[in-house]
Amino acid sequence: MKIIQLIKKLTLIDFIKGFIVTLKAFFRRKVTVQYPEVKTPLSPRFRGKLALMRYDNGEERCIACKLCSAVCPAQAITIESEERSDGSRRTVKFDIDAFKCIYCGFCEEACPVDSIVETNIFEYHMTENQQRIQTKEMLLATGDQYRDQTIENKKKDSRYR
Amino acid sequence: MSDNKKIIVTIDGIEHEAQPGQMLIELTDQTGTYVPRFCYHEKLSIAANCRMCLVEVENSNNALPACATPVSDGMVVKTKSKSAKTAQESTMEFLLINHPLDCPICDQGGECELQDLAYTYGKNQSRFDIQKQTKKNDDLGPLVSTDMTRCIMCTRCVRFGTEIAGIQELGTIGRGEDSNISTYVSQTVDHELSGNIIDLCPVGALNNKPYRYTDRTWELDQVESISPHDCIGTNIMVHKKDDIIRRIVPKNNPDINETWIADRDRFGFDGIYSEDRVSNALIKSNNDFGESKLSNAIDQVVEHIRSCKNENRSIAVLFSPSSSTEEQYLLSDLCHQLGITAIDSRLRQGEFINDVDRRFTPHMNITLSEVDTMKNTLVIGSDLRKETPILAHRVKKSADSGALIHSINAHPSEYHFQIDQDLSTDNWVNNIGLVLKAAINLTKNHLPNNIADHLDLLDEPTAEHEKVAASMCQDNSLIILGLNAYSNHKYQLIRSYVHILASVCKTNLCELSEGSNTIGASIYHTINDGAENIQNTSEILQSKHDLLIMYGFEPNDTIYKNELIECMKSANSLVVFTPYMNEHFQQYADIVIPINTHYESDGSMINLELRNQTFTHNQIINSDQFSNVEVLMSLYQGMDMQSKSIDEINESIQTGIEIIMNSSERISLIPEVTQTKPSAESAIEFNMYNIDNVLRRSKPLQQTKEGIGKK
Ligand code: SF4
Ligand code: SF4
Ligand code: SF4
Ligand code: FES
Repeated sequence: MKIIQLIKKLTLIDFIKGFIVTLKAFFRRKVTVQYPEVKTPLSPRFRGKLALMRYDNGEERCIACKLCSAVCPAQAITIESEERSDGSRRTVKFDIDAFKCIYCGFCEEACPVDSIVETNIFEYHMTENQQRIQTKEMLLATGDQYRDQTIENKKKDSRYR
Repeated sequence: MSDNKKIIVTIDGIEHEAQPGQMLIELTDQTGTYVPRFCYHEKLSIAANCRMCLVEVENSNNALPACATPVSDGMVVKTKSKSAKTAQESTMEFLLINHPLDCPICDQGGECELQDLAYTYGKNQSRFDIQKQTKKNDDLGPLVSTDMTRCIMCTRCVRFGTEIAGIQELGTIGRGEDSNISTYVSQTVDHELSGNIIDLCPVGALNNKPYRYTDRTWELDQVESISPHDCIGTNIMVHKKDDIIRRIVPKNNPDINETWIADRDRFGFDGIYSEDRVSNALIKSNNDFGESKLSNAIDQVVEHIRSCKNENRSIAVLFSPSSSTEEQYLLSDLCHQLGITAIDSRLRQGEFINDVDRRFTPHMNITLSEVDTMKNTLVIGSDLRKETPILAHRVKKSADSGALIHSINAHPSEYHFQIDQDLSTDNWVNNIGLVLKAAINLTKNHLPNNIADHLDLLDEPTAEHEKVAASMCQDNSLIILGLNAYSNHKYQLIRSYVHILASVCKTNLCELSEGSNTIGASIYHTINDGAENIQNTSEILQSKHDLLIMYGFEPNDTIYKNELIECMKSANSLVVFTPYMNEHFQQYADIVIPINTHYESDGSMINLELRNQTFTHNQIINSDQFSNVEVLMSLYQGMDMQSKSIDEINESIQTGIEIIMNSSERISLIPEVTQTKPSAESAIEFNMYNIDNVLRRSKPLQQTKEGIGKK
C-alpha cells in the first residue's frame, strides 16, 4: 500500500490527470454566458414575478375565491373581498408580499379562473422595504404589461397539462 | 312491540341495541357511523326526498333510505357495501346534474355539505352535457341572500317554515325539474327566527346576506359566547377574523336554544361597528367636548363623587340591565360603600310601588327545556315571539304536542300556534283578576282578607275565565309573565295577581325580565339584604341630582325617556359610561367615558332560569382599550377603596343565585294603592330591534320590516 502511494506521489500522476481534464474543457464549446449582456433562454414554465390577468374585455379575472391565499405555503397573499355594485364577487385588497413568496407556483395551480399567473420576469428590484408589497393595481399592471408574452408561454405549456 | 323492549340491529357487522320506532339514521348517528344525508335534519320532520342516505339492508331488494326506514329486530345493515356505495354515488351524480360549478364564489364553500360529500361520492367527470338549469332568485329581504340555482330541493327550508317558524313563508312551486323554492308572494322573510334557514340549507342557496362575499370559512376563528339581547342566554359562536366579528352562528345547547338563534342574536353584532362609537374619554368645557386621557377623566369623576360626598349632595346611578354581573356587582358595591342609595338598573319596569324583596326578582322556576313538556300555558302581557323568540319556540313545541295555550294581553298578538282562549281586551288586567277569582272559586282556597276584598270589587268571571282557570289548575301548567306586563304602569298589581294565581293553582311561573341580565343586577341586593332603603328608577328620576351617573345605556333604552332627559338636564353634572355617543349625551353630558360593548368584554350573565354563563371576548377587543371591569376598578382606586376580587364576586354570585333559587315563596299581597277596579289602558309598543343600543345600530336589522317600523 505504502509503496503504491509513494510512487503516485513521486510521479505526480493525479496532478497530471487534473490537467488533462482542464485541457479537454479548454477546447470544448462554452456553456456559460456573459449575463446580463447575454441571456439564457427561459422555459415557458419559468416561475417569475406574479401578476393578475384580465379577460379580453378588460374585466379582471379574479373572483376573490381566496384559494390562492389558502394554498400559499409562505402565506404571502392577503385578500379582502366584497360584493361589487354589480353583484359580482371581487377583491378590494390583493396584496402579495414579494419577500415572502417562494415562487412555488401553487397559487397559479389553485386559481380556478387563471387569474393569478407567474410571468417570466425575474429581474426586478425595489429600493424601499415597503415596495415588497405588490398591491392589486401593481399586479394587474404587471399582468397587462406582460400579457402577450405570458399568454404565449401558457399556450406552449398547455399541451403538457 | 312493547316500548321498553330493546331490539338488536347489526350495522356494518357490529351489533347495536336500538329503540323500537327509531329511524335507522338516528341509530347510526348515535353509534357514530356516518351516513351521508341532505334532507334529514334531527329537528325537522322526515321528508326522504334527497335519497343520499341510501344503505343496503339484507333481505330487501333495493337500497333503503336510512332516514325513513324504522329499525326492526335482527336487521342487518351495510352502509359501506358495494351496493350502498353505488346507490349513494348515483344519487350524487343526479344531484350534481343541475348544481352550478360556482364553489369558488359561493360563501358556503368550505362548509358545504354537498361539497364535502361530492369529494367522497362524486365522480370526476360529468356525463351530462345538456344545458344546466337556472332558477330565479327571490328577494328575501335584508338578512338572507338567495342563489336558487344552487338549490338541491331538500326542502329543509320549507319544513323549517311550517314546523319551526309556524308560518309558511317559503314553499315549493312546480314539479320535477321545474320545481322551485319560492316565497309565495315574494314577501320578505320576516320571521324572528328566519336566519336559521341559512344554517339549515345544506348548500349555498340560502346564505347570510350581510356577510355575503366577505370571507371564506377557513379564515375564521370561532369564540364561544352568549347573546346579550334577551334574558334567555342563547349560546352563540362568534366568528372573527383580524379581530373583527364577521358573523355569528348558533352554538348547539339542547338545554337553552337547541340549534336555533333569533335573528337579533345573529345580526345584532353589526351595531358595534357603528360610526358613533366613542373611542376617547371626553370632557366638556365651555359646551364643547375635548378629548382627554381616560385616567384624567376618571380622576375628574372621582373628584365629582368626592365633592358631592363631602358636601352631602345627592348622587344617583343608573346602569344597564344587560351589562355583565361583574360590572353590576362592582358598581353596586361601590355605591354601597359610598352610601349612595339611588341606584337601579330597571329601566323598563312600569311600576315600583310596594317593590318587594329582590329575592322575587323575575325568573322562572322550571328549566327552559321543561317548557316543551307543559300541557297548559297561560301567556300574560307578552308579545312572546318578539320578546323571547327562543321561549316562544319552546311554547310552540308544547302546543304542537297538544298543549293548550291561552293568552291575556292588551292587544291580540300574532302567534304561530293555536291560541285556545284569547282574553286580550283593553281591560286585560281586569281579565287576569277574573281568572284568579275563577281559580279561587274552583279550588275553594281560603285567602287573606285584603285579597278577598279586592277580588270582591271585580265582576263575576265568565265561562272563558273559568276555562282558563280550570286549565291552569291542572298538572304541568305554566304562566308566562311577559315584558308588556313588566312595562305596564300596573305591573305590581298584575304581578300580584299572577303570583297568587300561581300559588293557588300550583302552576309553574316564568317571569321575563328586561335586558339580558336583570337577575345579575339584583344579586347584590339579594345577598346584602340592603334593598329596603334603595331608591328605584322612578324615584331617582323624580328628583334632582347633583351628580347623575349613567352606565351602559342611553335614553332610548328606557320607557322613562322623557323623565330621564329631564333628569339629565337638571343634574349639575352628568357622567356617562357609554360605548356610543348620541344627541342627548352630546347636549347634557359633562364627562363621557368610553366602555366596551358586550361583544368586546368578558364576564358572566345569569339567564332567566338562573343559569350562570360566562363569556370571553378578549380576542375581539380591537384596541388596547381598558376593559369595563378595569375602568370600574380604577374608580375604586381613585376613591382609595378596596374592591372585591373577581373570585370573591363569583362566589357572591353563586350565593345570590342559590338564595333566589331556594326561595319558593310567592308574592301574596295585593298592592294597596291600587285597591280600586283596574281601568282600561293602552299598551306600550315593543320593537324587538330597538331594545338596546347595539341592536338599534345594526344596519341589517334596521332594514327589516320590524326595524323600519320603529319610527
Ligand atoms: S408562488 Fe407560492 S409562495 Fe408565491 S404567492 Fe404563490 S403560492 Fe405563495
Ligand atoms: S387569484 Fe384566483 S385563486 Fe386567487 S382569489 Fe383570485 S380567483 Fe381566487
Ligand atoms: S334552498 Fe337550501 S334548504 Fe331550501 S330546499 Fe334548496 S337546498 Fe334545501
Ligand atoms: S337524508 Fe334520507 S332521503 Fe334525504
